[in-house]
Amino acid sequence: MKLGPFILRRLLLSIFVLIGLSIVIFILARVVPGDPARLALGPRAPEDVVEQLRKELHMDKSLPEQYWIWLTNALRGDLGKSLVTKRPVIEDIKEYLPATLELVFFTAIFMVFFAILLGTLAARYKDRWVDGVIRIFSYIGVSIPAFVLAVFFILIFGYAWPILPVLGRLGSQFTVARVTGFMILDSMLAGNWTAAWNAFTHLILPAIALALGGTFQEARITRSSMVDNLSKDFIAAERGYGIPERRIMFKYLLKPSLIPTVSVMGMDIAATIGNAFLVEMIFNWPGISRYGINAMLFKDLNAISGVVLIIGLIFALTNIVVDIIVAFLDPRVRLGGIRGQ
Amino acid sequence: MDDKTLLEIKDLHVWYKVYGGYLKVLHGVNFLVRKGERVGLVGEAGCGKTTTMKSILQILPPGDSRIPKGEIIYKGKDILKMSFGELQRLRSKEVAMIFQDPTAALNPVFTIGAQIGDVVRYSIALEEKRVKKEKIKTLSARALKEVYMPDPERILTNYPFQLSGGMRQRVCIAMSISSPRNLLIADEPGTSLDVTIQDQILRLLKEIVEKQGTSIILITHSLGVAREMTDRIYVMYAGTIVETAPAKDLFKNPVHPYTRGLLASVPKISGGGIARGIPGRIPDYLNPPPGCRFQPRCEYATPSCQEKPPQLFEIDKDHFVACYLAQR
Amino acid sequence: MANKNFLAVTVEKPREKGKWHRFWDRVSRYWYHFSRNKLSVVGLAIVVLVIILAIFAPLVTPYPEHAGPFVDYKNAGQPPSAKYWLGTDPIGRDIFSRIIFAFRGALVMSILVLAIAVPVGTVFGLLAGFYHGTIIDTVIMRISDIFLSVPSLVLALAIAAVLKPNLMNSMIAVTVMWWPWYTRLVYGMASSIRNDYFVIAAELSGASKFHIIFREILPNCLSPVFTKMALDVGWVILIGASLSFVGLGEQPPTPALGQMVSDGARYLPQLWWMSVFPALAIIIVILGFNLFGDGIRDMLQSSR
Repeated sequence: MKLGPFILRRLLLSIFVLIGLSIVIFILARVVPGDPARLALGPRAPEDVVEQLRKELHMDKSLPEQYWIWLTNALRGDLGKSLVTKRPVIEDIKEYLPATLELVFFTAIFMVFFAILLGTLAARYKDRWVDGVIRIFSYIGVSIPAFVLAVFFILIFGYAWPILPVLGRLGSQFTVARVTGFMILDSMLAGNWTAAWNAFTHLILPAIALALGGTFQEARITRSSMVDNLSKDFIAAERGYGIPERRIMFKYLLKPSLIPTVSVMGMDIAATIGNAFLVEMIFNWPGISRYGINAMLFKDLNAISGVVLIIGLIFALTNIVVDIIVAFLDPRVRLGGIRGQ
Repeated sequence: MDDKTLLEIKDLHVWYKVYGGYLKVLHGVNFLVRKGERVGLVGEAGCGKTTTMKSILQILPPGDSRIPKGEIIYKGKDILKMSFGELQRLRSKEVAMIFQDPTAALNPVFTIGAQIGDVVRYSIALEEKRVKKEKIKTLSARALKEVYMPDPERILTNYPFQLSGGMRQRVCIAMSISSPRNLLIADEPGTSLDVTIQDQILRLLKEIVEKQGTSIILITHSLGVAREMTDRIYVMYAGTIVETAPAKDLFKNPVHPYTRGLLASVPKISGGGIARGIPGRIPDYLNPPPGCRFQPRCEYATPSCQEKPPQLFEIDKDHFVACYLAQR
Repeated sequence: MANKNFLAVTVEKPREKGKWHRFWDRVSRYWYHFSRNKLSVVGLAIVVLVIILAIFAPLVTPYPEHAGPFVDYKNAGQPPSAKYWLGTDPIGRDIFSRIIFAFRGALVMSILVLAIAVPVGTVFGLLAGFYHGTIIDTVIMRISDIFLSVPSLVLALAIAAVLKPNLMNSMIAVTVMWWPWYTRLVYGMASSIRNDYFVIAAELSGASKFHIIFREILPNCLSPVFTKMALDVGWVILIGASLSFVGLGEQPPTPALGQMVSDGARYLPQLWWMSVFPALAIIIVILGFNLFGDGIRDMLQSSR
């Protein structure tokens, strides 16, 4: 397996892109608003105090110098102070990030599982009613924005039919000591299984709201690549050599058919992270996205740049993971067969 | 049918479902292979050669194809009526097919070792419940050695895209002979490769067949290859067998107008300009012409040719022709 | 004997046809491919209906004045009825009228965003593809990578937040995030077309770079670009609704779809119609444009 150089190449590319992103964020947070110091202190602050803050922000220096200072600080974990919480942004991120990661992780699991399940079913029963139902649902599923679905869930499960919790991460009757910040994991570590279950039930609705669109989109991709591969000669050949049908389905058909599905995963996870900004707000999920939205509404520039930067980092890492999975599934990517030919 | 018969196809019809109806691709194919015999199947592209062969192994695209009529009798049993277990046995122990395009016939995301390994495993899994990994590996490597693959151990760890076209074709042949079979079906082996390699592949096949005494059906669109490689030749046109004869007879005394056309369209090295060829092309399978399917392209066609498809008619020992011309 | 036809090689005589005749010929061929999937026709119907409603909003809505700073406490919080088809909000404004007016903002946004992002992205993609392997290629493609390195919605939210929140700025934010997709799409095609013989032939015969890029390469990239454009209208509406849901789009009292859903969510479950109907409107509009886009894709793919 020559995965090593492959991952290294991907990492270098990501680092380059993240540096580019930091420039964009710097421009956005420091240059576009005009006078961040005045913005931070409000219109009524006396001029000498504002001048003082400008000095602290190094705004008397040239822009490249400012960027350099900002970047080195950011690399040391100093993202400045949040206007709203009055705490260092990095502390806020540490507090809120695990909740979002937990949510996105479960969303991704849900998405992959149901996309493959529905896609395989639709391919297996091609042009039958199962296929038709999945197709109709996928048209609708792709067209429902996550936040609209979240509002519907609040209406249905919050009022009409309260079988699942709709707000927060954990029922108020539980207290779980924070160790990792991942609620389910923390509950398990504390040996509190009812709390873990409760935390899980809180995850279900936000995760479904986030996953639905991507699930159906990927189910359609899985279906069409499976149908495509089913008519390939290698499947006919494997049948002809007497390899059992089930082994063909789950080994020889599934692996090549998953490559397109996994390849678009990166985009779907991007959409999930983006939609989490709205969905967390609706479900009152104490994650980084809800924090980010608050920062945006209050023009909290340090917090905004911190959040965007951290999301860029997470997204880069997920893309690397997706690429590794693709490389694992497709030897042509892993061993450089596509580029060579 | 005598006891030397290995495979007999009787009046086989195969239809493909497409938008707007069925493509009536096979229209009464009759075909016979004796034990140890080398049979050639010749015809232009799209005439149903591959479809006939795929229906022997029952590997036509599921859902899109149907067999409204016909029998495929292998060792006295109709394949079309076989249970799933019997079919599995047929596929893993009796008949193997070598596909036309080795690149398409190999799964791109599994190693050669995994693919040959599974073929080997299921060809012996019927007798032995647990097959040792070591045994599979040795048998796979031995199969590769038989097709003269250099360094078989390494090839087993390679992926198809890492091999050349000729090597892929060898791998496909190795898969088919990894355990002894009674019938090999070779679908235009090597056509997608260049001529010298095609020649090597054909020689290799000939050698294997002679060594193991296997029956073989060789599909080709080249009459020259068929003459060199086979004992008896079937000529196929638009889903029907139009003529069959021992290889020598067919070249000496071709009867069906289509066979004659085919022979005339082979370019000759000794000059004579461009070959004559046959005007027109294979008919539309959705609405095939009535009666004889060759009739619209045939220069001897009479009105009666449009009425009923002609049946195979023995004009000489082992020489059958499906043409009203021959019966007169 | 219709079956005898395949014997003869049929050569169609180029008949003299009028300009209009040829035009209608093409239209009917396109329509055939588009309408083969009935769902595309449904999509087209929704799209046309939404556009007509949006254009003639002041004429077709029962209370056009409600799409603004209007107050009528007598009719506040009315459920759907014959008078107020989809009910009213807590200050007595007709939800139906406001939804129709909100279509205007959504459509204007998606049209303007694509009208800017598509040409910009396409030109960058063409340049990077034409100068494949040079510094121009590297610079353009790395910059577009940077914009694709964060989920579009996140950076669009951040940009909209830093600027003053209004419809104009949310359009700017979305446009900034949208062009790189077209750059990437066109780059892939342009860099391979660039080495095709007809391009090399044009180069050898002394055609200008401008001619080669815009007259030789561009026409061969257009079909996928149009396909993506048709599919993207729905996505832009979705992103726009997301921005306005958070409060970073069109500001009240002017109605916007996302903003209406989030306003209504505060009055759940009593005034459920306040959020449910705008939410359904969003779904229907996006569904319509998605189905329409699928139809356009089928049409452009099979008419070639």
